[in-house]
Formats: sequence, structure tokens, C-alpha cells
Amino acid sequence: MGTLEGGNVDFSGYSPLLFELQAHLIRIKAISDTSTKFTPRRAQLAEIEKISKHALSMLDYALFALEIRQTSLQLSPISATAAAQDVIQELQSLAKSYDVTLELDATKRLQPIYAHEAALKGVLHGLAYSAITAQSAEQKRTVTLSVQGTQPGQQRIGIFAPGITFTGKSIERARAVSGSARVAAPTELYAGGLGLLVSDELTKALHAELTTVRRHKHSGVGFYVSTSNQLQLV
Amino acid sequence: MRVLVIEPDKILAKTYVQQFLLAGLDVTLARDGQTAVHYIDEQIPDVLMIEMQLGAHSGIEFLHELRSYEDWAAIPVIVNSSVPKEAFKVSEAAWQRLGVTRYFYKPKTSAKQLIGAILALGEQA
Repeated sequence: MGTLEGGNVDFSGYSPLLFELQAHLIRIKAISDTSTKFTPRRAQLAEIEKISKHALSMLDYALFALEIRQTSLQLSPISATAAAQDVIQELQSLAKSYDVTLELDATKRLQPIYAHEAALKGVLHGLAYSAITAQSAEQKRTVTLSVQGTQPGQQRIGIFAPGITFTGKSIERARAVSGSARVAAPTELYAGGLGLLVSDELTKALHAELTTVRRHKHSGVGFYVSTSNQLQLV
Repeated sequence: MRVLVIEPDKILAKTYVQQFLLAGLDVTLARDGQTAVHYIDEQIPDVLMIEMQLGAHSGIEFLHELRSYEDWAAIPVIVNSSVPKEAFKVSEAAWQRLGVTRYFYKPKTSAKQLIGAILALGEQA
């Protein structure tokens, strides 16, 4: 994903990235620590592989968000639904380990939106990652990625997770952690703040703004984008 | 020996429970402070192991609440956190008042060390 060339990446404000990586490494260490007499080694390795994969994936999007801070992305018509489907597939195993069901709710036959595929996937990945890893009193949860045509020429892309209340304050907190230390809670837990931070940066690169959204009386977090047709008319 | 583990991270919680059970400990898991209070209300543990970065409460807030109840004032507490002790602006005396007997920093701690500390507390009791 690192497609840009130039100077060194400016890591300022990205301490949550280090804490997120630390959390993944602690998990890997704890699993490795489990004696082979208890868990079959193959299962341990599979678990370690899964955690490493998700850590690398989140790192990839975070680095991409860092790289494009000062750059304009080349936007093109893409399908938001297809991007959301890809992200769901990417995060399926993470969701499973958190007892989370990850699903897509998309309006049928939506027009393409004007976006950058990697950036859009990064936003969705970050949002979903935050919702999956956020602490909730509910043991089994459903996290829904939603792509809806809200009005002609506009689509709303968001994430909803009953039991997790996203508020304007959640987003403000995620922005506030940029540059500060570790408490990066999207809602209640320290985990997941990096996801919101990455999403926020990448949403800006798509000329949109992360905001709270509502669907079926649940509050979520998302953003509005224009369809490619609308932009072409302009 | 009954151990109440307060650990918000699901993967870590699972590994601690596995290892503690294997060591012959009676483990109860709570993923947040509120659930922990509920469990303690039902049965007082012999030792409490806590991550300081919890959800709605911070670990410090939880410990203050715990110590505010007379019946629970003597429960020994082991901290096992991804936040180093030095990151908290809490004096040694204050940690003692909160009943924290050992403070472990997760990146440098093995399950074996945790189990050793828990068993040592059991022997002292």
C-alpha cells in the first residue's frame, strides 16, 4: 500500500499505533507462553498467525494514512459495497475471536462513489476494527457495516454496533489521542482508538468527514460521500 | 484458591484462564469493573488480578471503590497491566493503601510469574 515516495514518514501523533502493536505483541507472547502440554502446538501457531495478520493489516492502513497526510489522492469511481465486502472478509477471523458477527447491510444497486479504493478500505477497516475490539457488556455482538443511498447523489457509509454507543465525543477523543498517549477509546475501551484515528485521517483524504450517524435507532459512526455521477455533473 | 481476573482483552483473558486452571487455581473472569463488583458480591476471591486499563472505570477508580467496602478491604490485589507502574502518578504509599501487593508490567511478565505471585499470596493468607 505504500505507494508514495519522498521523505520520511512523519509519525507525530501516532503513539496509539505503538500501543496497538504492543497489545498485539503481548497477545502473541501470552499465547506462546501457553505450555504445549495444554494446547496443541498447531492451534497456538494458528492463533499467533491470526493475530500477526491483523496487526500487520492495521499497521499497513496506519502507515498508509501517515503517508498520505500531505498528499491528494487520485479519486476514481469505485463500489463502496464491494469495498465493504472485502473488508468484512479481511476481518472475519478477528471478529470470530471476539465473538462478533460481522455483517454488511447495503442498499441494492448503488452507484459507484468517487473515492480511492485503498483509502476507503482503510476507513472501513479502521471503523470495523474499533467496533470489534471495543469492550462491550454483551458477549456476542453484531457489527454491521452499512452502505446506504441516503439521497440522490450521496451515499452514507457507516458502522453500527448495538451495545456500543458512538458519540461525537468518541470521535473527538479519537482525534485528541493523536499526539497524546494511550487512552484511545472509541467508546469505553483503550483498544480500537487507532482504528478511529486511521479512519479519521483517511476520511479526510476522501474529502469527507467522520461523524455520528443513526440507523434503526442505533448510533454509529460514518461519513457521507458523493456518487461518481454527481461529481461528473458538477 | 479463588482468583478473580479482571482482563478486558479477550485473547489474553482466555490464555490466563487456561494457564491458571492448569495450575489448579479456581478462576473467575470479569472483563470490566462492573462485572467484577458483581462477582465479588457473590463470592469474595482470595486474590484479585487486574489490568489497570479498563473500560468505563480506570483500574484506579475500581480499586478505590473496592477498598471503600469494608468486607472487601483485605482482598489482595495483583496488577498485571500493559501500562508501566511509573506511568501512574501514584505514590508507593497510595499503591499500598489500594492493597496492591505486586505490580507486573505485561510485556515483561510470564504466566508462570503471575501464578507464582498468586500462590505466594495464598501461602501468606
